[in-house]
Amino acid sequence: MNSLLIYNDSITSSTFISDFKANLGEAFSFRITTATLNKEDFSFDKVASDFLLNVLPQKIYDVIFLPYNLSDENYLELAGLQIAYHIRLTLEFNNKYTPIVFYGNETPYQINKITKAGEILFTSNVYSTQKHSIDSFKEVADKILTQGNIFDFEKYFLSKISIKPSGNYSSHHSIANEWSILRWANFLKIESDKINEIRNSIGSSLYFKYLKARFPSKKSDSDNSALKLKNKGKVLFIDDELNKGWEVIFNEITKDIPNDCKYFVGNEFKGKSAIEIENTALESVKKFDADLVILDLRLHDDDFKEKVKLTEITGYKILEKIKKHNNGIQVIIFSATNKIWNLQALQNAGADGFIIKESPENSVDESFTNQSITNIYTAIDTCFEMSFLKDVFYKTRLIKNTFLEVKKDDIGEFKNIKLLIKQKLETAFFLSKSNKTIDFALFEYIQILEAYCNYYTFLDKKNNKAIVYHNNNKVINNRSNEHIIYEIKNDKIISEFEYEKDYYHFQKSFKENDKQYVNYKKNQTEYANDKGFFSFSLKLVAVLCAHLGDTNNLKSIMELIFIRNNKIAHSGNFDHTKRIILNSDIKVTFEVIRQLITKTF
Amino acid sequence: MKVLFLEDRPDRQKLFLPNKEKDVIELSQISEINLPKENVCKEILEQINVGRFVPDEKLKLIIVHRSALKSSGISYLNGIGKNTKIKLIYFSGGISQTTYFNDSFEQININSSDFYSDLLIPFLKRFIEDENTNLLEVYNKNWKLSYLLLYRQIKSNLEIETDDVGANSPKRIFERRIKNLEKILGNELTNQIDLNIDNLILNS
Repeated sequence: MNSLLIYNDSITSSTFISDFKANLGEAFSFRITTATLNKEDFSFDKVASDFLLNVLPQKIYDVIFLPYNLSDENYLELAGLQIAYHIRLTLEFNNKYTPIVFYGNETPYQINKITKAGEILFTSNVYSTQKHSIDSFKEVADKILTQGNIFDFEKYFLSKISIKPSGNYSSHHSIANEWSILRWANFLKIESDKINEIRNSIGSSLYFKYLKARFPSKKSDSDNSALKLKNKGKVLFIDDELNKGWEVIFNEITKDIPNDCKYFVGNEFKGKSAIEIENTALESVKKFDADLVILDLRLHDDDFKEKVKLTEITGYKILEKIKKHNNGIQVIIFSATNKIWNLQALQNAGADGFIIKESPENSVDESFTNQSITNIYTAIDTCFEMSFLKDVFYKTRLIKNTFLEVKKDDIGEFKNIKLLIKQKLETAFFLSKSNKTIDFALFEYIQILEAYCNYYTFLDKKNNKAIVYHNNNKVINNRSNEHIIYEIKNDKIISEFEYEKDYYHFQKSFKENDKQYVNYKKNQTEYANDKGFFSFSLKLVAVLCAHLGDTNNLKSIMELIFIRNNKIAHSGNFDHTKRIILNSDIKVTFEVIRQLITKTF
Repeated sequence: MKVLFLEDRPDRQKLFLPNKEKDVIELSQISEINLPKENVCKEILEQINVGRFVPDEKLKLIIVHRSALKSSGISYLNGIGKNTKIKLIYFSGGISQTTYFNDSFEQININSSDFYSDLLIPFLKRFIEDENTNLLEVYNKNWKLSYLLLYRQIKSNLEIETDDVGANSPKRIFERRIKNLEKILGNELTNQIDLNIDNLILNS
């Protein structure tokens, strides 16, 4: 007979133990000592798992005998039941199907009345006896050995029990966190002390073992070496459980980003009030000048209250504060939430992406993990691509609050153009945030250029010339304030443009010895013709030369105007896929506008 | 003060106590309970962690959030318990199974949501009146059942134990334990033990 007895020597007869060893098999004492109690990470599950790891794996026993109680003082802990659950739910112990016999004066029905953990007593291969003698144990064991051991684990065990997470597990001891961390660490093949620490601590948790048994994952040979970030930037991670393993995970995902471009904040949130957390987070964003923030949604105990509104959650408030500070900073929300209305609300509040933590229910197989992690890389890359908006937002706000601020003396056309540009800059920024509306962002920016050019240029028909003003002092024929684009004298055009095949040369200065010509490729549909046609293209060339002194971006802008015109005028016939508007187009156009405004307003 | 209650996350009380704010106020108004706020609480926890905390003579029970302590702090506090017989209640959200010890001193490790139940305030009031109140009462109305079951278990083992050589033989140890349990439970309960257990289980 190859049986095992697990007992507590302070409440079990030594005579009985000796008899058991002599007749039935082996016996080991399970007892929690003072030394174990002193450990910071003490948990019953860990002690139980460590004990069973020492006792079980080497052998598959015929029968395991357990008393209901293994506690020195508190019978109702019913630790024997907990030990049995660990045996059933831990593959590594090699005794998943081994018959278990509980002994004690109580009936299974009485035990089940006392505790829900008593459910195990009504599953396959679990027996009980109220007789406390070696002979009765032998009798029970002999009967059991005539039956087979293997049974449908799902049907006759898992479906008959339920193990709940311990209360307060939804806050700082969330199983979703630990589950995600381990899944992702396994997939990314991360080996680190921190991950091993989690494996050891959570790996021994009965609830975690139960989840693993209920939601087993298939081993995958996924090659994740192709996963790499294509773009770079400065990323700030805000999470109160960084030290639980998230820092390790995110460091691995962002390993191609230099260390001085990554910053982690949140370990210090413990014990802080919600408002303190919000302020610390925002200060970090400002100080680190992050391009991208990966922000955990729930950072404070109050965030886990049952009926808490999304808008009251700390992460939501931080999102709002970041977007108010700079709407161009990209924010990815990191959360276990799968409620679509929450995600929509977060998107409306400005969230630029989501990383959803895996939970046991949705990670049935490793392809889910594969997809989750691939999505993280995509989300981060997309946000880095959009991170130029941080600069655009900052500069837009600066321009609006300085150069475009309407002053008391501003009247008429000058006042109107300031207001117009201000409004269009705002609109253009919002439209830039999505590739669905980026075309319209460009249209807005080009409209700003058109308004600007119209304001600063003038077709003086009376004097047969076209001019560009240097500043707001728009007095006609004031040579100090105007720059002649072309002039018609004696039926001849004296143009500061010289037209050569496919190019315009624009004379930058009247000084004979200062003739510099700027070339740009002739726009195919617009040109300054002999009749004095004063096109937008011509105005733009003139303005850029006169106000900025260079036309470095002229070619790009002219191309964009051409595209804009065709998209609007020939929308039905224009093949939009041939030339999609890119973020770089927005950057270029905005920069030209910014330079013009700061130079002249 | 008889009771020192170290909760470094006071919002948790509002979260878990059954009557929320009302219970928090009631708790703070119980005399003989020292419930230090924020910075003072953190300071005491730090003192425990570095082994500098010295308990007041009147102190009989320390309740502390276990996760706020390092190993050194837990060890130090357990040492205080052993030397002074001050009782200890450790609570934490990470504790999955309540464990109770009464070896050299009384100690219980309990999950926060089990700790912050409707039994807490009545327990504290009883404890202040009678320091011998068993810590099991903080989470279990059925603590007598626990002792009765233990009594029966030890008695069964005593009946088959044959090693009675010396004052600390297994048989003698069991007999002492039985006597202790009889003191706690009283003859009325232990005389008809099976019946009393059956009734208590039925009514649980």
